[in-house]
Amino acid sequence: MSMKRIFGSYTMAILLLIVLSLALLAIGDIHLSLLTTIKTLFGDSSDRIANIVIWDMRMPYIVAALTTGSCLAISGLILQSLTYNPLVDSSILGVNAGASLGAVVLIGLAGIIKAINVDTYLPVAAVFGALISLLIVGIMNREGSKMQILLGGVALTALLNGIILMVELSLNKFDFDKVLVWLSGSFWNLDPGFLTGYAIAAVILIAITSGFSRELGVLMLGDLTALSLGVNVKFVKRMLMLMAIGMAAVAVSVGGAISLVGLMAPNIARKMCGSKIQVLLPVTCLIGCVIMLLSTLVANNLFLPSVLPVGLVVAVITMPYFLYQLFRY
Amino acid sequence: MKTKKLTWINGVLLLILILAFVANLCGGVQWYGLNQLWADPNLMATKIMWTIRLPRSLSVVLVGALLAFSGQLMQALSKNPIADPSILGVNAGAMLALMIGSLFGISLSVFNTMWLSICGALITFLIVLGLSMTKQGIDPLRFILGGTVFASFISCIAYAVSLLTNSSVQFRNLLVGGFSGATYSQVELLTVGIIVVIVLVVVLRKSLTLLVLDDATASSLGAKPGVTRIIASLMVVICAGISVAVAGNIGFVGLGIPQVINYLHPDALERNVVPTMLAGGIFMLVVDLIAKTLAAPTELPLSALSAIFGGAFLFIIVAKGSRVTQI
Repeated sequence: MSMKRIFGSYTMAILLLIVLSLALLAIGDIHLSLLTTIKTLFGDSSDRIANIVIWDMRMPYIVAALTTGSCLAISGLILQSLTYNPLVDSSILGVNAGASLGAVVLIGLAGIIKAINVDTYLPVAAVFGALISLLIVGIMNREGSKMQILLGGVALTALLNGIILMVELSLNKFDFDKVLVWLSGSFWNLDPGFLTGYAIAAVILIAITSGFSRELGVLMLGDLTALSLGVNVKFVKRMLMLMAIGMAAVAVSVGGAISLVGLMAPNIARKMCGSKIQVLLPVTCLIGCVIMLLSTLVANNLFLPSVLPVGLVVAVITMPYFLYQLFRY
Repeated sequence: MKTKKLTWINGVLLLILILAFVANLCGGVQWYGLNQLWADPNLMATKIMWTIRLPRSLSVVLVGALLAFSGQLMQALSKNPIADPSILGVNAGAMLALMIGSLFGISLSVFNTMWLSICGALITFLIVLGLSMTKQGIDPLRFILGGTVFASFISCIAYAVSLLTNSSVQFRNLLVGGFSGATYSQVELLTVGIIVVIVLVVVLRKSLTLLVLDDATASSLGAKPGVTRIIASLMVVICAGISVAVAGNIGFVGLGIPQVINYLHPDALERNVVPTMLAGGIFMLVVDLIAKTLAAPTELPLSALSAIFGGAFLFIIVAKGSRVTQI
């Protein structure tokens, strides 16, 4: 892939990211002009309303979208590389549903036992759920065909969603809307402290993953090649798998079981800039953020005054893409 | 010998069906004895039995039978042991059509729900079929995977519609599935549906059985595979459509039942129709009884219960895998 093309895809992704972020900050039931938005962002505090709207009301959405988008995209890239299967991501393998179930069970338990603090244990529960569901699907991974693994993940998702639906509806009988957070995803907690914590966790996980990017690139050539190039295959694989699970858990804690972003982002990035991992990783991350920002923009503004859960918009965008990929060849 | 075994299986299943029916009729927030039916008609319990419990139990049996049969037919149609109207999005399509129809002001009378849900089911069925057609014909695994994702795509749109119009309370029964509002007119609708289906099966029994063969063989045996396939697809759509109209989005019933029956009694499709329907009825009665009583007075969502059973079942078949991948 030529330098020009790589440079082009970087510029395009970053440009989209900035435009969408600005749009998300400026558009809404209170419209702000572009100039006011930019001024307020750079610390001009003369317009009080603009300050409140941007920093308190809309910035949390951007943080949430960037956190979930980058985490889902990179975990999808890792899973796709490790399984040599471009149709895999954390949602289709049932990892998101598992993390979601972990969160739901924790919230249910916290309702019964008051000593449990949801905020502290949420990531633990999500990681635990994700790990278990990945282990269950992994049992099939040993000899199953690619389609079989996907189908197993889908079946597991159906099973887990059934349990989630049951637990949630017995918790709050009449609030069907709330169930949707854990079935299809929504930014359910926009508290700045909560989001900052997860954003920092996301940055750390992404940094560790990029530390392993050379090894990830070599692993894509096959285990034997990687071994002969001096990579500790077993260790690196475990480490990367752990990163993928951690990032999926972070994304689910912030936004619920958002579907298929991790499938779409790496595939688009691969088309744009080829499969050289040092470029692919950042571009995938950017594309994931772009998808989430776009979905948030649509979810928040298309049907004003009602706001849709972002997961539903993501599903409407990503699922047709999956079908296209599936039936293309 | 073979017919003898079949009669035996049918007899046992019928007996279990009757037992399950009685249990379902008696069970609920409060357990009532069967003799309550003939007690003083002014008693509250007797009224509940006649106006709430009986139509509910009847529609449970009929929906179970219809869904199981439509699964069996779909498996024959797609020559694939893991097909089911809910997996392929047909149920979700019927649900979406019902919601959109009622939002456009069509009153949800029994007749309207019927044609709306059948239209929705038909459209989604055609879309999934169209999507999975490749140059080499239908690839079974791809068919199911695509159908499943398409089904959740449709469900997401349905959720979005219900959220935007603030109608998730109104459509709760449709979205999570359940029989809590069953009435006698719904029972009539289901009865008409099941009679139509049974008549069609009796008329077409030979050609339906030949569906599992490839087209050339079937033609040489005197069947018209194209015509049969269209009629069978219509039957699937009718069964799934009216089931959704009555009980909402219940999935996976049609997946496991035909396989269990086929395991107990491997035989031609035409002879396994009756046991499949009976077993479908039994399964639905038991699941509905669990939904009614396990967490009483709350009613558990039926779609969740069936997804737990069905998802586990699907996972096991896929994990074992041998039969699926060979086809």
